[in-house]
Amino acid sequence: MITKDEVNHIASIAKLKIKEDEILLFTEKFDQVMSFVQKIKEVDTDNVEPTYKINDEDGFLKENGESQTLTREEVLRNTVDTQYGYFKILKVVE
Amino acid sequence: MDISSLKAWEMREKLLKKEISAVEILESHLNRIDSVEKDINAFITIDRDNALKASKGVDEKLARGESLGVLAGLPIGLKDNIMTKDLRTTCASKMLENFIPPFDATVVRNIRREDGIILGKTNLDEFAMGGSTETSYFGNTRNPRNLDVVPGGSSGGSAAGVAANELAISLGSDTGGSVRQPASYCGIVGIKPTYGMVSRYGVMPMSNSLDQVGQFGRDVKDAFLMLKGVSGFDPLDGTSSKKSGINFDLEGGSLKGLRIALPVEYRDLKVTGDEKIREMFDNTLKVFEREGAIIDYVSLPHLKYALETYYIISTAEVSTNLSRLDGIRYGYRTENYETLDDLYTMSRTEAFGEEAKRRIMMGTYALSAGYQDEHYKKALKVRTLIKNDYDKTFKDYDVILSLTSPILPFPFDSIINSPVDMYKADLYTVPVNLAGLCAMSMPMGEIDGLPVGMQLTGNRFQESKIIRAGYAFEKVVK
Repeated sequence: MITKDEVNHIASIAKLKIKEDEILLFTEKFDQVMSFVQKIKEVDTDNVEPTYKINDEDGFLKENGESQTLTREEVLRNTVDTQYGYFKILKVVE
Repeated sequence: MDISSLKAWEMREKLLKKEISAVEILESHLNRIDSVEKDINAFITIDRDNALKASKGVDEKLARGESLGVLAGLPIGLKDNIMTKDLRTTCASKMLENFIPPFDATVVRNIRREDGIILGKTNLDEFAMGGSTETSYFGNTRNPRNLDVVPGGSSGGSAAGVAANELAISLGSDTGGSVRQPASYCGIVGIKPTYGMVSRYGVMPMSNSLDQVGQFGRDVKDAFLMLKGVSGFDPLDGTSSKKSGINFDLEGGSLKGLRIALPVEYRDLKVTGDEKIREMFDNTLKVFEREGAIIDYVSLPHLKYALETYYIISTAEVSTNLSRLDGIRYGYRTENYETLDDLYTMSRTEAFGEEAKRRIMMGTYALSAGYQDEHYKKALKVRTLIKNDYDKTFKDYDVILSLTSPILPFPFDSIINSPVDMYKADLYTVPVNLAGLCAMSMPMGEIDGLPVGMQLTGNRFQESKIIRAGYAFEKVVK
């Protein structure tokens, strides 16, 4: 059974906040989902290698050099606040 | 003649014969949109002006006697998680409500190269997470076959737009069935190509090891055309395959001698209310048999763990992918913060919907210290076993045949509050992504006026087998 405290802990790692009035329902649904996936524990996977990627080809390297780039204007276009051509956020060092 | 009701390949033939123009094709679709879009809500953004410009360009090329690409003049919809330069791309999330991509996805460039017309961006479940398009920030899309039920998801807008003749063909993305299931629910054809067949460059990743761009069409030939237009090796996508490309045509496929496998795990798996669907499937099998296909039951013992495996792997990848959305460089930024940490947390909390949050949480949990081996690593090993089951089956068989979904398209708000039930509906589609296979959903009939699809699954890079078999089946039942 997953507890409210565990949910809050996972939320803090994921940079999310579950509201106090939603936490019980969220924990309940989350617990349902997590107990549902426990079923794979019964599979015997001794001596089985994990599959991280499905294609059997090796990756490929690109030529070293500039192929694609974005202008500063393009990079900054979607942010909320800019200053002197940089992303502007709050001051983090004194 | 209502051009928008033709098949895409018919539109293209008439265009090349100069019986109709690209502008006329576009206008018939815009008229259709004007009359039905208020009921369907297939689109998040419609790009009328640029579509008109592009259509005029195609007509001019034709007038000059230049050769035209395979998608010439066809109005195409793109799921709104596919990046389009200077055209808003939202992923159906409040997070990216105002996001304007600075570049085009490779599939977008391929469509333009083939003279296709990008008509708009279609609705989806938020960040492609869901099976009903109900988690979209931009409202529900309704099923053109019956407005009271969902179109499926997550590529619900792309499927509904094609089914409603608002689009000729379209692209979606399929991580666990998000193209095949809405194709089934809307009564059209949907292809999930082999992993590595279509470039993922510029497609917002949900689960990198599972995602693949899929194609919708009103018949097999249309979906095939869409696939042909966008497939091919792409050096910008590190997982793109050098084997990618479509080098076969549809004719010449036959059901005679086709070796079909039926997983016993699916036969033994009953879902409440699926009796009529199963009966229809049995009747469909008789058609294949009558046409000379060889059908056997086979066992893929690890299929029964596919859902759990899928939800661990996919959410683990979701949680890392969505961590890029931090409110700093792009996307929604909260106004309620005092520290940098608050900025991240409150931006994400205010902008992500419930299902996105649940999956981020689940993935974070599966990857967290102390649980990583027990969940994530374990799931990756089960994935190997599932892949091995398929490899073994495809040594002796051409195609695996199954349902696409064990349930009919359902009414709004009926399933979304029960996440586990919603996940279970993906039983037939998720194993295909885990093993990187190709699969296609196509209509096999109707129950209570609602479409029902079947799924043909093929080995990696064996698109020719499933698509030609589907095309042959379509001709038989016509």
